[in-house]
Amino acid sequence: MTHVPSYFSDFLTDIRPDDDQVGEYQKGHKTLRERLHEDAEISRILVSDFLQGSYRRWTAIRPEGGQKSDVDIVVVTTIPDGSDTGEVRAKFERFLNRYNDYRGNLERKTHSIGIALDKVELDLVVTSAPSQAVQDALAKEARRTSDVITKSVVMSPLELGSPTDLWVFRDASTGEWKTEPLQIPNFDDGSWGATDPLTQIAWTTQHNADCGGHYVNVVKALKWWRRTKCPKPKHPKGYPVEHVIGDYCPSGISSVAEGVVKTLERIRDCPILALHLTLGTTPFLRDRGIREHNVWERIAFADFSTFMTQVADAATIAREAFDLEDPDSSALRWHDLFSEPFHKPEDDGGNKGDFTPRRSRTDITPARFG
Amino acid sequence: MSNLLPSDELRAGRRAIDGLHGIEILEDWRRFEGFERWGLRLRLTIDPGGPERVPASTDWEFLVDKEYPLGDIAVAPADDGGIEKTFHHQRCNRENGPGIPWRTGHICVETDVRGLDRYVQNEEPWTAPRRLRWYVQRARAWLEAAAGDDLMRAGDPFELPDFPITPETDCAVAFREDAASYAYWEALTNRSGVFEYPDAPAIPSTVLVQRFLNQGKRRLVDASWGRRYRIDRPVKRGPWVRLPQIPVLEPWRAPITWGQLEAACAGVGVDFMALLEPLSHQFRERARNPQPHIGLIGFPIPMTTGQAPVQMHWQAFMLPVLASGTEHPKGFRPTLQNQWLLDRRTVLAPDTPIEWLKTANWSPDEISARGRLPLEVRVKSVAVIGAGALGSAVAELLARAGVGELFIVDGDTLEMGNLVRHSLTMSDLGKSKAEAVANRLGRFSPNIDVVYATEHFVGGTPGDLERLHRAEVIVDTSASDEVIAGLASIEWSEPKMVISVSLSLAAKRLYVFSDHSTRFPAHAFHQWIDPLLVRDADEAPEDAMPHGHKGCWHPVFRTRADDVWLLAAAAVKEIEEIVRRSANGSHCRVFEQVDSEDGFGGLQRL
Repeated sequence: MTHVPSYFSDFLTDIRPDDDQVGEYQKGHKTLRERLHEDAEISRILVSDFLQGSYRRWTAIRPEGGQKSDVDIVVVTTIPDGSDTGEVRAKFERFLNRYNDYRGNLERKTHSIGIALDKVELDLVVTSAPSQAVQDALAKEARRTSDVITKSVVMSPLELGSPTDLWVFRDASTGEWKTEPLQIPNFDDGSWGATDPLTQIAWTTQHNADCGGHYVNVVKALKWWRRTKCPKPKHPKGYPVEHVIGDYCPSGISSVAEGVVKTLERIRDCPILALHLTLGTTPFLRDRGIREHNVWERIAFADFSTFMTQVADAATIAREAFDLEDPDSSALRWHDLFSEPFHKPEDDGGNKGDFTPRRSRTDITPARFG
Repeated sequence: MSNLLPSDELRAGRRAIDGLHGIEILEDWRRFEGFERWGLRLRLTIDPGGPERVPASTDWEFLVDKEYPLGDIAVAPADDGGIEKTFHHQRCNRENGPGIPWRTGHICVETDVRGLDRYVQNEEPWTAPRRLRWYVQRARAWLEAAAGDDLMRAGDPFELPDFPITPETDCAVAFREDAASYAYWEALTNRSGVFEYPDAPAIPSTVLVQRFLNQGKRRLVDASWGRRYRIDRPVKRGPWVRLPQIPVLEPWRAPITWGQLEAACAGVGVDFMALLEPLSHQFRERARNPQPHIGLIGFPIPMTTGQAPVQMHWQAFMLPVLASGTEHPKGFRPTLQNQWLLDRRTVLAPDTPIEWLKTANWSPDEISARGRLPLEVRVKSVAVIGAGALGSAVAELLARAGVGELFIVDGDTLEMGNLVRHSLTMSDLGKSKAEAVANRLGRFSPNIDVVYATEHFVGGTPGDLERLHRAEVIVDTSASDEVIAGLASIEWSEPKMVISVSLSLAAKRLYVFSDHSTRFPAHAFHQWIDPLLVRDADEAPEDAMPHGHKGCWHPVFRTRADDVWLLAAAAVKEIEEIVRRSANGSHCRVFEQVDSEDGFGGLQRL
């Protein structure tokens, strides 16, 4: 069992979003929040705002060359769910268009309004807080949240462990801490649906803790593998990939290497997935928060089938790499799986003592002079 | 007293010339006090043949050292009855001081005068009967050649006439002219102007001509000395005049007086004084103690007689202090023109002797032609990493053999213990080895450009690294694996010649590894040399003391300067071959001192 932790550590440093990118979306978020609070019309209905998405969960990898990082900003409002989604959108578009850097850079999406800034893309997700209790709790927690948001971006994944760091509220009747879904508009068909970003965050944090902090790194590594080795088909990618890794990454792993090989093998060997393959159907991967939601709803069977083949091939390579005793050979095989920036063992140009024959005497050190 | 009588050897010498054809002894051996010589006066008679260049009979004084047959022998025309002209292969022939019965025109009859080969065997004998006789016969042969105008033949190396130098003048002048600068001169039409020389000489008692300007002080030609010898200020100035041909009086006499110079210049179509007059006004100084200025006369010369000229030659003279201020001829007003007239009657009068100065051409072709590396090697700029025993020797050999641009790198300072093998001296103790070696190399020639870095190669400044990039050949004598690694970490923009040179324990062997590529292959280097170093260690004598630290000379192995310099010389020869061939990729070579029971067995290439 060879874990090559240094190689993985350097690899992860090179594939995670760099400080500049993080800085950019923090700046974007901060500016947007200030503007939300300054706006007379919006501030009246504003409850809170926070980041969601792979950045928030620590599972993001840096954007592909030339592309911008993509960040969701959830704005929790008192707009009642069921309101006319067109009016909701119009209200926010009016707000956004007041600002020069937003005007002309807006994009209408199904669940959000995209704002294309210079270096990042903000996705403004308008949500509705379902109950008064939640609204009160959220309002109270608003200030704390902003601390949390700032802190969570800076903290290492392992530190996101304690429930008090998450955005939860205590149920007045039961005294339990729980999260509750938010209602999110579908601008295409005018409907409202549930979303539970916080549960996803909470789940990730918990699982990461169970995996000794390695889970989020397994996700990043395998996302990178998908990007470099499985460019086709396009799907599954993003959150659906993260979700299936989450389902199959076992707890109790002691390194990223172990997590990668075991996750791939468990996906490959899972009898339920094998059954779906023979049946020609895509599996139902249950959303962490909204139980009736299938994260893999939009994945075509053909794509699922290709995905399974790719996982099987990768599992073979990963197992070989993991079983090799010699760290250099192991690292080389891992490099076959991930490509750059996973380092290959250095070709040592210097004298390793390989060329020195057995010495007949030990009192004189071989040397040359000038 | 015995020293008043000629020795047995002298008399044996005189007897040996008895009866030689055309030789008559006029006066027997006389001793000349003050000259430590014995003189024999002879009359030499030849058949002059053609035009009256030389009289049929002429008298000569043979001046011989009292240690005869050892010591020198001079042949001078007698004051009375001796030749009065100056020919080739002869010193300037004038009357000598009072009481000296011979003229100054000593003739040159030594071995390397080719014209005399036909007459007498070329090898100078050293026995009492034979040596004087050889000189007498050669002198007669010289006379015959002079009469037949055969002393200088086409194809003989060109020889300048003897410009008589006043012995008391200790100032010498060096200029830098070669075929390249001659091309400049040929393109210029200026006949005269002003030249600059340093006010304080960089080399004791020799003045280096810095640059030629026209009358209006515009630069025409720069002498491109190495950077240490290029002086922009403070400078002094003097006049220069250029002639189309060498100014000689027939047959081969340098002008001695201003009048003779004027005549000789007129002979080649130049009015010397007319050119000098306008220049002279710049040098009229109204100082309390005016110093004379140096002047130059230039003319083109060939390499061999009979060929077209290939370079400029300058002959320096002392321009006398000229009239200035209120000095003027009586009855005339103090104008510049009248001051010139006064000069022409006094310091520049026709009969006034010219004070010629010792002048030499110090261009690389002149001073190092005799012992230098081929052009394609010495034209390269070379960086030497390491100025220790080996590095200082290699750098010195390269510099003396004509490498004109060097960069020396070393972070150490010189200590007493180094001196057993180093080229530096006690006066350099405590100084940076790189700086001291560079300064030393800079004193070998005015044409050399040496810079240095006082940091070890690996820790060097960006400026040092840039200099390294600009070097065309890098020679590493540091014996340091760190330097090898450092070299291997650099990607050169073009293939670079990198040569590693190091010595084995006790300097028994020389290891040369060269590479010509964009990246030095440290791996290949170690693969080659590491087993060899192990072998050296295994071969070391049994009673050797344990480890000194790496790279430093081990106290137990008594490596001497002659070991280092022997291998350094081999290294330089190998470097020459490597650079000449300039093959790509890497090559290696080992030289070894051969063991022998009866002393040094030589150096062998393995």
